[in-house]
Amino acid sequence: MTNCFTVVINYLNVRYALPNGWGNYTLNVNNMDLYVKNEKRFLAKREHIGFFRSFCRVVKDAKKDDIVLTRTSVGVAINRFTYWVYNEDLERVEHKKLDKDCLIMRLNNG
Amino acid sequence: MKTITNNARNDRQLAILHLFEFDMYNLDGTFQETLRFTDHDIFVDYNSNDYTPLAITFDRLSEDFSMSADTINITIDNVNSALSNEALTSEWRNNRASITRVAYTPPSEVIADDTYTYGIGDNLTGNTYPELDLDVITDKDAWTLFGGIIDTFSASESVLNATITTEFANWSKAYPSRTYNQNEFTSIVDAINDVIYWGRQNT
Repeated sequence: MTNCFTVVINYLNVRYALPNGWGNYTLNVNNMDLYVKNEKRFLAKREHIGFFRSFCRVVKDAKKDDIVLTRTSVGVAINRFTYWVYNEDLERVEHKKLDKDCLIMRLNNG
Repeated sequence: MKTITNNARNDRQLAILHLFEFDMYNLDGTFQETLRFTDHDIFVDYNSNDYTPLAITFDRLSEDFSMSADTINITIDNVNSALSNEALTSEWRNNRASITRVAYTPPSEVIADDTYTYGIGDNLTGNTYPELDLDVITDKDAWTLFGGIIDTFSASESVLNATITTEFANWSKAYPSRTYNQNEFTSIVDAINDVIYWGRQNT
């Protein structure tokens, strides 16, 4: 099963060293169903923000491969103007403009 | 120089997009980067450079042999205020800006086993996100629609406006744009000669 969160984690995992888990979650990129099953709760409780905050720092201006969080989605910055995010309804990646509702985080080792 | 091939003459090229380039310099005069944008709806790769899709409009530009269009106004979506931040921390004015028009034939595309003669042209092989790779498209023509320098700009919360002027405009100025200081020069002729001598900088 694919959603915006799993696509981002899989993208980052091949490029950067990600932590093994956070809180009650254990990060296993080979078994992302743990997140997918609880995705609504995960996003609704804004736990995705806490998850990324555990190994990222908040930055003001985006650059390539920064993580872009909105209220209900997770994406990756392309440059300081745009980011890509997986659209589950269309089942494809699309790009969007960064706006003021986006929370931008950078991996501590990125 | 405009080079149009038979592709365009035979109406085989069906799509047009524009590429915008702005050279940015630091306030100390050192080169910073070239900002590249396109009015296409997805990213464009041309000459191995990425062009970011943004909402950009520019004045209607008529093309003829009179070369009479010496200024052009463009309006750019001020995404996330990133452009105005850029404008305040670096120097836009008096730097190179260009608008390139590309006419091309979209490549064929297979979607769900159906072949479409003209597809979207997005290429996902190199990137996670959709991008049009113009470098691999052979049926295309690209020419510089307008080249010049950024003269003035203004930014608001939502848009950034800029005026691009051809460099020929510099030659039509009767006097230098900076006024002379009466304490330093005894006449305006001395002030002009101090900066510009026969159309070039007086060194």
